This record gives sequence, C-alpha cells and structure tokens, in this order.
Amino acid sequence: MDPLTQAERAMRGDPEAVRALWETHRRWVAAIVLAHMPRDAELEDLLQEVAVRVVKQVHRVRDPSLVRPWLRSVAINVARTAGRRRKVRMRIVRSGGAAEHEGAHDAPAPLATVEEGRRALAAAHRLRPEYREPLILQCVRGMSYRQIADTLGVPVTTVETRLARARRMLREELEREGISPEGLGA
Amino acid sequence: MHPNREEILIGRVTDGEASPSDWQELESLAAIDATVWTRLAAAQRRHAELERAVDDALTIAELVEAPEFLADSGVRLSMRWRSYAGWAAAAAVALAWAGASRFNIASGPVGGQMSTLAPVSLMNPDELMNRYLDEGKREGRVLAELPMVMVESRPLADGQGSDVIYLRQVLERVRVQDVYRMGEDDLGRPTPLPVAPRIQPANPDPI
Repeated sequence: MDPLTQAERAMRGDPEAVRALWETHRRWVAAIVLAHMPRDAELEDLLQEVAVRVVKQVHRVRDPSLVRPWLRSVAINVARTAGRRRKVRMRIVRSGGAAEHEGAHDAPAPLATVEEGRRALAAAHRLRPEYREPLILQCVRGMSYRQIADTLGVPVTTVETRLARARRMLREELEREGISPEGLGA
Repeated sequence: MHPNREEILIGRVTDGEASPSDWQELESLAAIDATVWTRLAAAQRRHAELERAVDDALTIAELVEAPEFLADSGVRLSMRWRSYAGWAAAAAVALAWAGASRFNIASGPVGGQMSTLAPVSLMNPDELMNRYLDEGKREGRVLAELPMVMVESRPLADGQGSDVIYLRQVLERVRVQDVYRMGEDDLGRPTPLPVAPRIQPANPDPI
C-alpha cells in the first residue's frame, strides 16, 4: 500500500491501516520524541502516549499528505509535555528489553564505541532543537535528506545546512568536554 | 557560522547523499589539502557512533504497538463522542459514585451467574477486579479496559524483583438525566453548570 493510500484509509478509521501507519512511521517518530524529550524521560512511555494519540486523532488530519508533519507535531507535543511534568518519573518494566529485540544490532559494539556514542548523543541533546532534530533524524536508518525535509517542512538545502552546522557544534561541544579528537574520531 | 563547502560535501558523503560531482569536488579540495580525508574519516566515525547510539535508543520503538482497543473502535468512538466528550467525562466522574453502588461488589453476588462464583471475601484483588469488569460489561456499563500505564518501578532492596506502580483505566458508560459541566461562577470559582438543552444523541446507543 502506498503511503498516501495508507494515510487516507487510516484517516477514515480503518484499524488495519492505522496500525500499518503507526508501524511505518514509529521509528522516525521515536527519533523526534528523542530529540525533544527531557533527558530523564523514558522514550518508550512517551512513544506509547504518541501511539495512543495517533490512533485516537488521526481522523482529524485533513489531507493524507499532511500525515508526516502531523505525526511530528504530535511527537513534539508529547515530548514537550513530558518536559513540563518531568518531576513525575515514568518507567516501563518489561520482562524482555530492548536488547533482546530482534531489531537490535547483530553484534555488540565495543564498550568504548558505545560510550562515545552515548557522549555524542548527550552532546547532541545540548544543541538547539533546530539542529538537534535533523541530526537525530539523520541517524534513523533509511531517512534521506528529502524525507527529513518533508518531515520538518523545510527545503533540502536547509536540512543540509543545519546538519553541517549541527556537526560542527557537536564537534566543538565534545572538544569542550575535553574528549580528544582521536577518541571520537574528530 | 555558515558551513563551508567542505563541510557540506563531507556531510553528503557521510550521509550517503553525495553525487559523482560532489565526490569530484571533494577530491579537488583534497588535492590541495590532503587533511580533508582525515576530516572526512573523523566525521564518518563520529556519525557512526552517534548513529549507533540513536539506533540503540530507537530500538524500543519496535516494541510500541498501536493500542488494540483504540485501533479497532476508538476512531469511530471519538468521532461520535468528541462533540460532547467534555460533559460526558464530567458526567461520568460526577456519577461514578452513584453508579458504583450498582456494582457494589462488597454487597455480594449480583445475578444468577455470579451466584456460582466464590464469595467476595475469598477473592483476591485481581479476581474482584475481573468480576467488576465482567459484571460491568454484562450490564453495559464497562465498555473496555484500556491499556495499563506504568507509573514507576522500584527495584527491591534484596534484588528479588521490583515494586511496580501502574494505572488501570476502565472505559465506562452511564446514562444520566441531567448533565453538568465544570465552569466558573461570577467570582471565577469552579462550579458545576447544567448543560442545556438536554443532549439526546440521534442514535441512543452510539457505541
């Protein structure tokens, strides 16, 4: 099913289409939440909230072509609301865990690389949202500049420029932390 | 602050968006300054590390499904009810106490089928809750139980598990004669206000 047909059917209340719509978009929607949520929030909790809102409100979207920006706005709203109530810590306990999921990496990364990645992500969170968001979206596998541009509602050239700035700021941020260029490959 | 051409080109290469002419341009820059390759390698490594961290964080997304109940009936339900959802919610809250008396599980079994079940005093909380839900569904009050919302978990000191605090939500319906909504009086104090005229949905049983 092509994305527009899927969106249209979801907007009409077809449960299967709603489910498919969510599964198609949830990964990059999660990236948006990740980019905007407070550091101490739980991504899974917020994503579940987004899922509920998507299912309940997708019929309000007027044009199938607007589904992507609408999903982004829902994700941002949920993440920002979490920021306002961050004192309430929420955590979901699952018997399994993300690491056991089949979507996890095939081979574990070396510990040093994992730690460097965490530092880079923490530093990315300190960037301004307009730089942080495309930077994290770009890390969603399979997302092109064009898709990021469509999601953010900006031209491709703006995405490119923001990404280049974001990377420069990220490098400077990490250097300020005293992480050697070799340590992060910079 | 504006990124220079080299940064743009390195970004395109790193992101797999570079065209053949971008590569040529980058090679031309590197022919003048070979450290361009070093910066490209550094950018690619940093991107790979960040990508892995983001990917790890996003793995959880695959575990989050669209809520089943809402996917099956929530859209239609919310479209039908949204115009008067506010008063409906207020009415439900206001009448919850009165309605609950009809399902007063502490007062003993209700109806013939329930009489075959264990006495209330022998039931644990889960059995009591299930009985409430079953009886509520039979009488049309309970429409569904919504997905649980986990609030917090605390590992036990002895490491033998966790305390989990969660919210259990039950979607219910009550029929009322008079409906109120929360409003404000002349002094701005919260006060229930009657909704007039009385709302009579075209379909008396919309759910």
